[in-house]
Order: sequence, then C-alpha cells, then structure tokens
Amino acid sequence: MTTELKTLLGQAADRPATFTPDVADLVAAGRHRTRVRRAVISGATAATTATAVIAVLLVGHLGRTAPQPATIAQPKMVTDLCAKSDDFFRTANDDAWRREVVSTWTDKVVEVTDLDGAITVRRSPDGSQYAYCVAGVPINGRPLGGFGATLLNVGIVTRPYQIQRYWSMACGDEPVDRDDRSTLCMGVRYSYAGRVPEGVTRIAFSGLGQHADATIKDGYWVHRVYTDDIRNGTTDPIYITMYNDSGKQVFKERY
Amino acid sequence: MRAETEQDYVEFVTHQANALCRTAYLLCGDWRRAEDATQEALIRLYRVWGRIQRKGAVGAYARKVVVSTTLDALRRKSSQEVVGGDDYFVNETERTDPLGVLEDRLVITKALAELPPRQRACVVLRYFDELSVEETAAALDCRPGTVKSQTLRALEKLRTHPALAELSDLAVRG
Repeated sequence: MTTELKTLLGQAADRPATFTPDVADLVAAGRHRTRVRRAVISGATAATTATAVIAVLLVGHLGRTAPQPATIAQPKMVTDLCAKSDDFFRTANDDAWRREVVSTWTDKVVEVTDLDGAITVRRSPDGSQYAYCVAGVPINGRPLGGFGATLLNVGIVTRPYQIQRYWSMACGDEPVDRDDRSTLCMGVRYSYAGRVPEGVTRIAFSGLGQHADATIKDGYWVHRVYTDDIRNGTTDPIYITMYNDSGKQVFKERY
Repeated sequence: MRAETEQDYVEFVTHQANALCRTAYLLCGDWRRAEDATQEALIRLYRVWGRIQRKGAVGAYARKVVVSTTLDALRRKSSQEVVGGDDYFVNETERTDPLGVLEDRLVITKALAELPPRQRACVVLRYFDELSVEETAAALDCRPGTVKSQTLRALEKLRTHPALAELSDLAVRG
C-alpha cells in the first residue's frame, strides 16, 4: 500500500513545468521584510523599556517607607530645588532637555513654595518656551522622586489651556524632622501649573476642605494643595474655577 | 546578509524551490496556491537563513516553513472564502497526459483532499518526501507519537477510500 501510495503521490506532483521563482525578487522581498522586522523590534523594545522604567518609578514611589512625625522644625525656606536636582537626571530620567531646563532656564516666571517643596514655571533663555518644574523636600531622610533627588517632575507647557497636575508625598505644614527615618508622613501635595487663558483674571481652587486662589504672573499660574490622606480627594475633590475680569465664571473642572 | 551567505540562499532556492513546491501542491491540491505558499516560505527563510545555515538544518527548516505556510493558507481560506465541495481540491487537467496517469492523479488528490490537513501533511511528508517519523514531527512541530497516530489514521482512511481501493484492485490485477 505505502509503495503504491508513494508512486501515486509522485505522479500527482509531476507536471511538465518546473517551478522557478525569480530569486532576485525573493531576495528583495526578504531584505524588505528583514528591515521592517528590525524596525518593529526596535520600536517594541523601546516601548518595553519605557514601560519598565515607568514601572520601576512607580515601585520606587510606592515602596518608600512612610516617615514618622517629629517635632524638630523644618527648613524655613525652600530655595530653587529644581536647580539642585541633578541626581534625578543621572539615575531615572537623564534627558538632555530636562537637564537644560534645570541648569539654564533660570528665569522663573511664577513659583509657589511650601514646606514640602515647590512648583515653578520657568521661561527659556530666548523667551519662547515655558516649562513647569515640581520639586520636593526629602522625607524620612530620603529625597523624593524615587531615585534620590528632589526634582519630581518637569515638562514643557505648550497648549493654551494646558493644566499640569502632579502629586507627590508630603508632610504638610506641621513641623517634622524630615531626616528622621521614623517620621511618619502620609500626606499628599498636589502641584498645579498652567497658562492663564485669555480673559481670565482669577483662578480659584476648592476642595479638600480648602479654598484658595492660584498665584498668577506674566500669563502663567501655579498652585499647590495639601491633604493628609490621598483618599480625601474622593469625597471632597479639587475643582478649578476660572473667572473673567467681571467676576463671571468661565471655566470649572475637577482635577 | 553577507554576499557569500546570500549566494548560498540563491543556490538553495534555485535547486530546491521546485521540490518544495511539489510538497506544497500535495498539501493544498492547487499549483497556484502551492507556488504562492512556496514563495512565501522562501521569503520567510531568507530572514533566518544565516542562523539556520549555521545550524546545518536548512532543508528540514525549509520544509517546515513550507508546510506551515501552506497549511496556514488553507486555514485562512476557510475563514475568508466560500469554498465549494469538490472544487476545493482542484486538479489541473492536462490533456497531453496519458489517461491512466490523469485518473491516478485525480484519485490520489481527491483522497488526500478528504483527509484533515495534519493527516494529509503526515502522509505527504512520510511517503512523498520520505522523511522519518522524527523528521516529520520536526516539520510539523509535534511529537513523533502524534505523527505515528496521524499517519495510521490517514492510511486507514486511504485504504477505505472507494476510488483508491478500486485503484489498488486494478493495480493488483495488472
């Protein structure tokens, strides 16, 4: 049976014409596929790396030991934390543009500081671009940012109605010893920044049991809000309300 | 790919393309589909040629790619096209062939068409390409035991196929 089967299969696969593909076409198609595959793999690798970096940052952020309260007074002033945040770039986000912002964008448009840190809007040396910079005072003897630095976040403000928000661990306005590793801080400081929309003269914050206006200067605004428990935001969320010069509300949104 | 490596690929294609195409034909029953599948397999082979050549298993890998490409094409066909009964396994009529050979071709291609793809592949690789059980298992990416059982079932079906049984009788008488 099997011998006969082989004969039948051989007969069935016989034909006068021989299959001779164009080898040059095959090689060209193979080269093209190889190039495409390499490009796809490069893209996927970059995406995976970016995801891994984000995951590491999150783990580092969430994994910090909560500090204990203490009674030693905090530093009176927070001075230019962004400019001192070189460690962050070396370890977590060594980005030429961010380093340039920290080192050369020294023109501060508007800034608010508190015992937990600061948010600043900075202008580029040529005056054409603006960036925000969030910095934090170390907690529990360890700098914020997850990788041993005080700079928490930095980015460029591009869109006319962009509202930048960043939250970070904080101790609040009560004096604590930030170098004491037994210090327990469970608070969160929300940092906001943006460009003042045309016609808006006042930007008000409400929520977390607080009411306050953002600091506005030269067309940009910044603000920081503190809560001792991040879960408070679900029951008393933060709203940003914008008013024009006649006191009319022109914008209200939860952030 | 380096020039000499590419030249090896060109030589392989020049000498083996037709044989691979014949295997593909027995798997799908249509020369045009077989040629398409073979070309696709050869293009895929180009990408991994250097690595496969270093391993010294070019022929086996090429056959594996041809089988998978041909069977994949059949699977795609089932979801993308409406296939009509006996026309699924089309055999090209070649009026210049002797009548007996033509009948034999029709018989075996129809019998193969009634086998599930994996069983068909086992029969073709074992009895047309004369691969061992282990080589067939490698080509189909399965265990040798699976090849044995699939081949056994395929042969049982072929034995009981009416047209093939009749052919065997004629062959015995002749």
